[in-house]
Amino acid sequence: MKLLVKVKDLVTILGGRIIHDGLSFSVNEGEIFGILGGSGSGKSTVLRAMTLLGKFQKGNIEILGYDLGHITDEVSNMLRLKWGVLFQSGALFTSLTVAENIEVILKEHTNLSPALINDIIRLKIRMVGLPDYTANLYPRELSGGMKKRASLARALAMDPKILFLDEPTSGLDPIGARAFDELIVNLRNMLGLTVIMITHDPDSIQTVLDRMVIIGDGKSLIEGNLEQVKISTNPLVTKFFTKLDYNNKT
Amino acid sequence: MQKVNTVDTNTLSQKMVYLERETKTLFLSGEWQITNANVLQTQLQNLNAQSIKKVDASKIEYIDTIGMLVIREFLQKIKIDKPDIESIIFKKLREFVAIFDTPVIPESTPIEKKPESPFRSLIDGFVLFVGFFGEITLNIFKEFLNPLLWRAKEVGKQVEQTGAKAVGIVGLSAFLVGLVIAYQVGVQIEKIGANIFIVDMISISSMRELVPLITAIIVAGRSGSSYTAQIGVMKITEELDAMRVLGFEPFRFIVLPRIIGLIFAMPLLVFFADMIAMVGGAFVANLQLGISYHAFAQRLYEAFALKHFYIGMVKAPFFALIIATIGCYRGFQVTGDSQSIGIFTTRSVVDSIFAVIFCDAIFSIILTRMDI
Repeated sequence: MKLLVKVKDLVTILGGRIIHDGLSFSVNEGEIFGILGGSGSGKSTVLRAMTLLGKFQKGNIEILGYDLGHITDEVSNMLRLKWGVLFQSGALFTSLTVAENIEVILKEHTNLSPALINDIIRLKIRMVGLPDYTANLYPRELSGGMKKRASLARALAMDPKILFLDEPTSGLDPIGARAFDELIVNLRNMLGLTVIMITHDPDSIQTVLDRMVIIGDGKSLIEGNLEQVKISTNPLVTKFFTKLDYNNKT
Repeated sequence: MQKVNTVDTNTLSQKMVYLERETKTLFLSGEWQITNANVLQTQLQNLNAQSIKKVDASKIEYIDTIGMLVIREFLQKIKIDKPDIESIIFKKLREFVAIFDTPVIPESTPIEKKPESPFRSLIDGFVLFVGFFGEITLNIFKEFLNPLLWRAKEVGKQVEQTGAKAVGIVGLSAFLVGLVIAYQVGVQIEKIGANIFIVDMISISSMRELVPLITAIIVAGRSGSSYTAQIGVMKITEELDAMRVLGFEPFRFIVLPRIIGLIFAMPLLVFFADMIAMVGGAFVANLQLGISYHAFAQRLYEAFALKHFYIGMVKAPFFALIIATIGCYRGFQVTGDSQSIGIFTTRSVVDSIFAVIFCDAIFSIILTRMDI
């Protein structure tokens, strides 16, 4: 299996606080990879570092064969088009409709004909399970779940190789959350995407993730599939799972 | 940013779309993706539909959804009933459209708030300010000097927003400025019987100092505050981050058009306000001191040195730069909650008015020392 993302000995310091202290993990092509950990463990920070939004002090992040610490502006611009990011709040451009949110990317970064762009927009909106009429709605007119789907459609606009998701099911009800999980698995199977997601959702962890890393104390406590992770004797890992199970029951 | 598919893939794609004339079979191969979709689309469009009987896509190594759309559109056009391609790729495409159709019910999420010490934010603010100015300077060298890179449409929109739409309020204020000066000066000047000098007083004081200053204050309150609020909200909703990951540098798309737009709009507003202030002055001079409009204009023509007008106009773009820079900078400082929008919008207006007055004072000192 091909390694797509490799994070090695990452050190991040934010505002004098050490967030990561030698964090390492790697993601294979085509898998759905989870980044887990308690609040403030630096999950979002590593996601921001991987998407070139945040800086890191030491270590390497290698994505698609490029070392993010040593790349030119041209390469970083090229890389940005090879991944899609779904932000926790959706982060759709509020002054544009759903269709325009997708259109603006294709218009700026490609020379495709307007007719083809329209087809792409319709396909992407259908792919994420939104009804066609949502294309002409503004983000404020969408429900929370629809917003997530619309921003997923935008993240998929350029047919990315890697999809980054920041708590995709947060703010959704259980039914909507399961539907979204199913959508992500289906999209992965069809498009051959590699998905890297931050999640707290016990159901997502059990049903969606192929492999995962649990972050604690700024390091990766354990990395592997659910069975491998669950038998870990690391007290922080067991604590994490007891908490999850507890939350799940209540 | 470079458009991804400006690469010349002509030679490559000629092999990717190959028509075998004897068997009337169209062979498709290679990687069909967003980066070469437009080239391939043109290739397919140039083919003669009648000369194709069969399509063989078994040699396609990689295809993304955009590649699929291009092929589907082509198949619809040539109306081939059962192309070989159907089973390989369009099974996938049909799946995309059909499978997902589950409605989602939303739920609201609570907003977290964290306290912050004022000292900390002061240091952060300073660091951000230095970084912001560094970025502005860099971008100005890179793009401001090359008008081809300006987002002309966006700049135009900003000129309309900050210039054209402010004409009413700026005009009214300028009229009142002229009127107030004329009244106040008129009372004093009447006592010594130097009535006609009211023209000199009004024209010099308003065109050189008061009108640019009042206009700047109105623009700071009107446009500076809106810059801060707009950018602040975009930051809260992660729109700015979204722009960055999508390859839209916020400086180029948000900050520069606002700065350039206001630099254009401000001198126009000041010029307009200058004229209106004269009208206000002439109106009162006529009413209170009995100076006819004709005599007012005559005196203005004889006594008013144009340099005062130019000085007022020269100040305008500097004031614009100050207001737009502070407005945008304060917008980027907004953090997390909606309260901070209010705080930074207030700061933006107060700071830019102060900075404008400060800048005006520096102008006065320099110009006086230079005997202008």
